[in-house]
Amino acid sequence: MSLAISSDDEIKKVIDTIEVKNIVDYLQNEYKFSKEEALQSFKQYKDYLFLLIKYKKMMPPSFEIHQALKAHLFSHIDEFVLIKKRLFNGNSYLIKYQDYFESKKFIKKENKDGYEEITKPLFLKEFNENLPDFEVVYFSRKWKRYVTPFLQNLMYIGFLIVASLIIYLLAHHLSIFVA
Amino acid sequence: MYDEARLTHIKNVINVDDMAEIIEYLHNERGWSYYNAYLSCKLYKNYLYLLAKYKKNIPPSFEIYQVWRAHALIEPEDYRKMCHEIFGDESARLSRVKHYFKDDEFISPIDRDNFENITADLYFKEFGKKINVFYARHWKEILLEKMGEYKSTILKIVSTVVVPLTIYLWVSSVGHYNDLIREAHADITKAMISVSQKFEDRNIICRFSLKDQQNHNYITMLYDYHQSLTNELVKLISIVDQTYANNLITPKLRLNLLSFAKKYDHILSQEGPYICRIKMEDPEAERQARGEQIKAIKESESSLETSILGIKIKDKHDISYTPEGFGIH
Repeated sequence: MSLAISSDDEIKKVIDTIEVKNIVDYLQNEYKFSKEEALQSFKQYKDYLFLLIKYKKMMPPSFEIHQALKAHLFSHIDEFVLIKKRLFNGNSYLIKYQDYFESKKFIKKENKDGYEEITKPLFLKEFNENLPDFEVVYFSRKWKRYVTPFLQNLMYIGFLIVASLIIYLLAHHLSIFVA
Repeated sequence: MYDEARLTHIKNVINVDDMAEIIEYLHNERGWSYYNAYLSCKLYKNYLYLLAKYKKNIPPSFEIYQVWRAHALIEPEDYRKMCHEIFGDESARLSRVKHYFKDDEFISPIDRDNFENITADLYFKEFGKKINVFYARHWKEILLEKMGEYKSTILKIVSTVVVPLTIYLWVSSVGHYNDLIREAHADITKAMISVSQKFEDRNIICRFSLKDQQNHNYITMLYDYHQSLTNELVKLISIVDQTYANNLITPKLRLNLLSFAKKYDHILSQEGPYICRIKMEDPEAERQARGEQIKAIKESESSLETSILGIKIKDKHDISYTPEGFGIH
């Protein structure tokens, strides 16, 4: 049974129990972050968790925080579940995973807006830290799945037409056509 | 390694999860069809079984990887619980989701080799079928995979023999087609020249003097020429029809035909006074009948001249030949 955590200090205390090694190693080894970037992302991730508990608001993370969250889930699921249970008991929707990013860009515009209107100002207010800006993707992965094979096939058909045209013109040039 | 009872338990633990939320996520966020998402979940469950049984960190296929990460991300509690149950003490190591893919390609070639040599083999050994790969694969890749070990040989044959042969056959067929066009063009031109010639000959005969035209032989000759012209026309029309049917009419030839039709429009499209397309059943009898008819007319003229007026009527009638017979103007 988890105890209710209310004060900022208590929240920070629980968050500080997250083991740095697992997440930083994962970020370095799997996502190829430098050590400084990994440590910075880890810190921002912890701050992000703090803001989620404190303000009880859904807020889209930065790309680095998002990667750190994934690293936490993938590298140490036991710890993540434990922290989630202790901190978000009853508010687990706040930490529910979403695909926020694709190629370092927000997939949805509303998440970019939420990030700029909620996450960034809160980071500035609470930690005096400026988070970077991110663009929105033009075509999400979901649509690329349909568009890419179509374009590939279109290119292939185009190639066939051009090749046939070249052979036709070549044959014509060689005076095969008399009539 | 586990005993049978433990393996059955592992299978049951894995299969008890319907993964509905994962399927929904793959469909909504990744654009997969429900069917593909469902199949991928089945593959993933089999993969988890392999991990649990062999306790090796074997690389998954792309589809399995997508389901795996989705499972950990979307349902972390369920994933953790399942891992504890099936991996036991090795849970911390085996539940770790390595970042295997960038887009749909293995990041590390070692992982790719291990997937092809270890995962695929183990999968086949355990489940008696190949590990299906269906997502984000271009049809060319699928085709190449199907070719299997003969891939390089087939590619060599295709590139060195089939492609040049296809090009050769294609060019030859174009050449053959052009030969046919050339022949058809020559036949039509010959027929057109022949029709023109016959028409000119007929014109010469038509310009004979009236006196000549009153000669019986003239009628016979005119008939023969008309018959000959008609035959040539029928022949031309037959060749043109055949050429159209064989799709051998070129724009140039079509222009020639149009120009010819324009010139001889009255022959081709109208029944001119000197044209007869109807074959006579018995030309000799016809000629004789017509000769007698002319003779009768002449006799009646002569009789009129003698009995009534007492003078000779000269060039009173201009006799011509029409499809319907003789016309007396």
